[in-house]
Amino acid sequence: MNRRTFVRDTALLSLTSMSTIAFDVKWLKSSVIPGAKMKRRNLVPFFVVEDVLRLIQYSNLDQKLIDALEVNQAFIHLASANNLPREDLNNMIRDSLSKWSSEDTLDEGQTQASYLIGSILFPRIDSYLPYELPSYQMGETIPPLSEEAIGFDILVMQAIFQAEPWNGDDYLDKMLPAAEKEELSHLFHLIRQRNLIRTHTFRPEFSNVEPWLENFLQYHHLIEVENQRYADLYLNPDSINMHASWIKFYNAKDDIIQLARDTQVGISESTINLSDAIKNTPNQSTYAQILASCIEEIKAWDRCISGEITDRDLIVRYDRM
Amino acid sequence: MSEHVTHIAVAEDSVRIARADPTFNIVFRESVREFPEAVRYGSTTRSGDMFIFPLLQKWKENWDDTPIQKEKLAFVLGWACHLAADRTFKPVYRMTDFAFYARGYPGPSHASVYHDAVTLREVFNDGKVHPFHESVVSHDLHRHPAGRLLPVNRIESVFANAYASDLAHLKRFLSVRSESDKSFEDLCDDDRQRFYVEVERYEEAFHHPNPAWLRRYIIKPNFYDRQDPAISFARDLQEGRSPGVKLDEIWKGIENQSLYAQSLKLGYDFLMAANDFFTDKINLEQAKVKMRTGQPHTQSLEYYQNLIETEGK
Repeated sequence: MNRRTFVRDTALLSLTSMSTIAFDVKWLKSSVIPGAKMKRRNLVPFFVVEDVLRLIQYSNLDQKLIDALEVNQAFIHLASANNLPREDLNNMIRDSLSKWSSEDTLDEGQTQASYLIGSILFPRIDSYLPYELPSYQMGETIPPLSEEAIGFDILVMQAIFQAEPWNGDDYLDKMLPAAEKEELSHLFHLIRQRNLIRTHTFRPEFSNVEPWLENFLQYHHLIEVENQRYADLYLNPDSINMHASWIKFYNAKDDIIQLARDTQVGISESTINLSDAIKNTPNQSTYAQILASCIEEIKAWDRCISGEITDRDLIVRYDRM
Repeated sequence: MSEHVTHIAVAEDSVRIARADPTFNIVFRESVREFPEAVRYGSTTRSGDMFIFPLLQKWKENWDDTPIQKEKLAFVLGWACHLAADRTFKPVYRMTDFAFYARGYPGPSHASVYHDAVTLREVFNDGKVHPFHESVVSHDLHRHPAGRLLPVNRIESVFANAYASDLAHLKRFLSVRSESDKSFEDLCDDDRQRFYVEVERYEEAFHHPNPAWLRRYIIKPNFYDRQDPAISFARDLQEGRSPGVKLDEIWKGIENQSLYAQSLKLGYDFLMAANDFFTDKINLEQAKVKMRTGQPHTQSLEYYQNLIETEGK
């Protein structure tokens, strides 16, 4: 079976993974950046990346790049945890590009490219968000998400829900009374529980297990509390005053957003043209602008693979992360 | 690869049985009672062989009677039970699903999926007992009473990706690999959590099991038998009944009880190994022997092939 024909690692998509051929890896020379701050992201950046993956099928990108991103979705998302020093990242960009010219090495090059594209998309998305993402260093107490961050997650979830054809605009009337929020909180718990089933087992940090264990336990306490917070806000999104910032952030009528939602619900012949939709985004909602910006980054990779720009041109873009 | 639901079941039942043993020390007893979730997380974590005794050694020398200390201890005790399940079932998977391992097919074997479906039904009362729910292996969680409120099919992958990202942040992700000859994917696999088990397979095994596979993976190898003294003892404790037999009687003829009962014996033994080491009844070397620390879970595939061929003759 050609492993590029199916999506790796995504039991969520009912597909599976295979072992790989080993290649020499020469681009990783040092450890993670000492003392680097990491961002605790809410769900919105991950929703954005899913929408970007929906949209690129309408682009004129090289099919090999589209295939790479579809197959390696897990690596794009994983790059949200990227903490490599720039030198390593730059070496990896050169290494990935060198592997696109040969069928023997293409697979590895595509996997790396997917990770590298993720590593620029997430900071790019962060830069547009109208709320703060908490930062922390490895070993520090993991910070909770702000009310606003959870609120935006809820509103994106509801926008996605509203797009479903079986749902319509009156879904809010079907809301459970607040007294039943425990059930919704439990549903968030179960969504996470199913993720545990999908992962089967946890991998500890081998270099220093006890701090990892403390962080691990603290993190899981935190997400149980956050399940409650998600449920509270899902049932009562007006409890925090976000209306004005939400209107600016997301407009379901923006063409590029509509195209993403049409694709989400399986409308394959949308009348919306992606290139035209991207051109319209400067005067549209922030979410629309983020989608356009992400696609622009992927196009830069496309131009580099085709030789239109150099690896140096591509690397410069990572300076603006 | 071992199985998630069965790991939790073995840990919870082994801990129940250990708590019925009066020699199970008070610190262990309080830790597992106060932090059952930590027991579950430990039971689903790999590589316990490397860390269980170093941590126990450190903690017994300088016990800090705080909630976080007890929670970490509960995790480590669950970790010991993970080893018990692995040592029991990994050889069984290779015996009952040899072709799967021989071809190196990705994802979990049918044997492990069917084990999980049975433990979800038997140990967790058709999935109705925490941390599960009867809807947990239903399509898009549609059986859950709040399922109609959330676009579960559209948000599950997002929760998964955010979760994997957070867990990667807890580790030295992709660090210090200068001389590695691994592929990039393999480097990532050292550190990342993969979501590669299809819940849909669990749904099928739980709601619509294939009779031939039930025979092959559950009935023929005697995976689970409610009548086993060890299992009925655990169920009595779980459901708040006084067990009809004494603890030391449940292990009699354990080799003739089901595989699941045998895993409980191993789980109990491993917990008592940790207990006896922590309370200075045995030394470190004796404890490692009792927990089989460092022993591989499985033999070579050729070993199982020979066993299967011998059985067939």
